Parts: sequence; structure tokens; C-alpha cells
Amino acid sequence: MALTIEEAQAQINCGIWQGRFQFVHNGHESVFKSALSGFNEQFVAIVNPNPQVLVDDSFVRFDKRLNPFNYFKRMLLWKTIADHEGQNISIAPCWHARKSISLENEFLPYHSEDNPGRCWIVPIGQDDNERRKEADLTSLGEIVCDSNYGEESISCRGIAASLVRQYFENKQWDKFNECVPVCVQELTRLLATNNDPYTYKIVPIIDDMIDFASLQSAINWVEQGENRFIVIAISVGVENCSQWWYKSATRLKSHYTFYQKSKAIKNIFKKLSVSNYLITPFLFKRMILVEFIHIRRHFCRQVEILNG
Amino acid sequence: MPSSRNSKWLINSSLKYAYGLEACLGYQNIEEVSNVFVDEANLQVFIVPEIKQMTKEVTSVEQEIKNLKDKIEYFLSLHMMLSTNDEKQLCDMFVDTPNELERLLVKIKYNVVSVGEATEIYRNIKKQWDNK
Repeated sequence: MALTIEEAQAQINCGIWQGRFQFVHNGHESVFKSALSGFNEQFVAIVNPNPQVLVDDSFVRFDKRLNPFNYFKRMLLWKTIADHEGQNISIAPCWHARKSISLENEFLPYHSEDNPGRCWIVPIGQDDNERRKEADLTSLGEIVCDSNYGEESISCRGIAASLVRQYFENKQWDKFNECVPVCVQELTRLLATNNDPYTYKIVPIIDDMIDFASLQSAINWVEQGENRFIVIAISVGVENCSQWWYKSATRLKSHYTFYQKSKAIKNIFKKLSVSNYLITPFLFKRMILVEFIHIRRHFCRQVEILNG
Repeated sequence: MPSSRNSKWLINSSLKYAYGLEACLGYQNIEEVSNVFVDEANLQVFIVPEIKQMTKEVTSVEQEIKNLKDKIEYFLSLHMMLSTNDEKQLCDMFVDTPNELERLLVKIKYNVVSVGEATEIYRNIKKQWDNK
């Protein structure tokens, strides 16, 4: 049985607003503002993070043609919306939570029956699909709360992402603008045509280590110009990149989860008053190769980059 | 990840071989950050959930920054409300300085600036304060 949003916010520390967000529209933003923002810790979980790799061909919504934005672009859009609203959110990938929650545990706060740590927000009143979503998540031991869909304005309730994509493809900008949050209208248009207006410096965190010289350089760079972002790329170990969405992450030499490391990084940036940053995973495949270049000839790992 | 057209990986030159990152990224899109050798002991230092700081002594410049911050804060607290026009002007001029100094202390704490760079920034602020 789903909790009400008020019960959930009072009992559970972390709220998760999940979706494919292809495209992000006013309905998504409305739930973000009305339901998610009341939780102490706020997560936007981006479903189907790498749309170029088909997860499940029985699930029509994962069809590549319906999923134009990769993970990074959707993360950037949500970061923009959150900054606009003055909210400090976390963004995490989510593979297909209705079927299985395994790799997601690396990115989300710890949760168990005895120690409930997170709650999934679902607009249960929207349609049968959302009701099934509630049932699926509950059967996996997760807590679900109702976003109060019925309370949303009619204009928000009438929006579907497929409609927004159609407006975009037909260049019906007036209608498009009616559906997409003002703060990301231009950015959505740019990203959808592969025109990213920002530049990035990527600082890797491998295992539990960060190179402070790189961090220092990135912070100096971001403070010296406009339209710049630091990307903190945290390594995540996976068994097999070709089917990684269902495989549990192995942490290599890391003692901490992605979630713990990203929280620590957020603390550092908060103390330094730096807000132009994004935190994203990149995947380490467990493949050992010998590094000949280095004088000590030690073993190292192959890296695969999460492009989605 | 962002497109390689508008992004660069920052990799310390003394770390770049350690994980085969450079090879995997195709030797492109990489900016070497420093030629300074990072010793192995320092590589072991990083994260716990509440941030394990890099352990180091409080430097004299940190102490000096704290002293200057206290001095300015004391001045602001004395003159912010009841003061002459000149004093008010000074308050306006230095009202953000304690926060600036606090940020500088945090930057030193997490090695975001070197002690040398911090000293230079501190000296500039101190000079403005002494000449007020």
C-alpha cells in the first residue's frame, strides 16, 4: 500500500522521482516541485540511462527512437531545473527498477525492510501503468508514495513526453514551449540537436581516490569563465558492460559506494561554494591487462565510459 | 559523459598510467594537470563519508588568515550600526571579506589552493586592509 506524500516525507529521509524524461516536461517538473522537494534528500533517477543499448525489447518505451537523450543530457537538464528552483538534488542512473533493483543500490541510499531509507514517488492516479509501477516496486521491497496526481494542474496532467517530442520534431515551438519548463526550453532544443552550450573538465575518481591537483585545476577553471561545468566521474565496477544493467556492481578496491562518494564530493563543493558541477558514473569493466608503459609493469584495468 | 568535442579529462601526469585511463580514452581529450610527482602515501588518502581530510599541520598562513578574519569581523560588528560615513564606507568595502577569507581557509584545507597561492591571496587582502 502506497504512503501519502505527507506520510512519506515525515517518515523517510530520501525521495526518488524516477522516469525516462524523454523529454523533461512541465508534468515532471510539477512532481519535482510539489512532491520531491519536501524530502530531506532528493533523488532524480534517470531510467534507461544508455538508450543506445536495448535493455528489454518487450518494453516498448525503451525503443531507441523514443529515447533521444542520453544520461548526461538528461542529468544536465535536471541540474538546470534544480538550480533554477534552488534545490540541491542528487541524480542517479536507474536501469529498470520495476524489474530488478540491484545495480541501483550502488547509487541510492541504503534501504531495507527494517531500515527504510528511500521512497519512490509515483503518480499512481495517472493510469494503469503507474498503478502497475507501484505494485512492481512494492513487490521488490521498496516503499512507494503517491505524488497526488489528482492535485496537479490540468495543464500539467495533460502533457505526455511523446507529445513534446512530436512538437519538437514538427518545430511547433509555441506548443513545445507550453509543455517544457521555461528554464530548460532553450537547453532542451540545443541538446536535442547535439549542440551543447557548455564546456566541461572531467575529474576522475578511481576507487576511493581523487587527484586534488586535478580538482584544484578544475575549480580554478570553472571560476574563471561562463558556461563551464566540472564533471566528477566516479568509477563503478561492473561484471560485463554489454549486459551491465542487471549485473551487480563490484567495487574493485573501493570501500565506499558511488552514493557515499558522491555525497562526500557534494560536501566539498558546498564548502567551497562551487555549484557548477555534475557527478556521473563511469564504468570499469573487470578486465585485467598488463601495463607495459609504466616502469613498474603493474596490473591495471580496462575502462569503459558510460556514454549513455 | 559530455561530448569529447567540448570536454577534457583532467589527469595528473603521475597518475595517468595507473589505471590505463589514457589508453582507454584513446590518448585524446586529456589535459595533464601537473608534473609534480604525487607520492604513493598521498594517493591513499581520500574519501570517507564525512570526508577524511588530508592530514597536515595548520600552517602559519592559515593562522594569519584566521587572525585577519577575526579582526575584520570585529571591526564590522563595531561599526556596522553606529558609525561615521567614512566608517560605513569601510564596512561596505570589507563586508564580504570575512567570507572570502573563510572560503580561502576551506580551499587550503582541501588542497584546492596551495599554501603558496593562498599566501599570495592573503597578502593582497591584508594590503587592502592595512591601507584602509
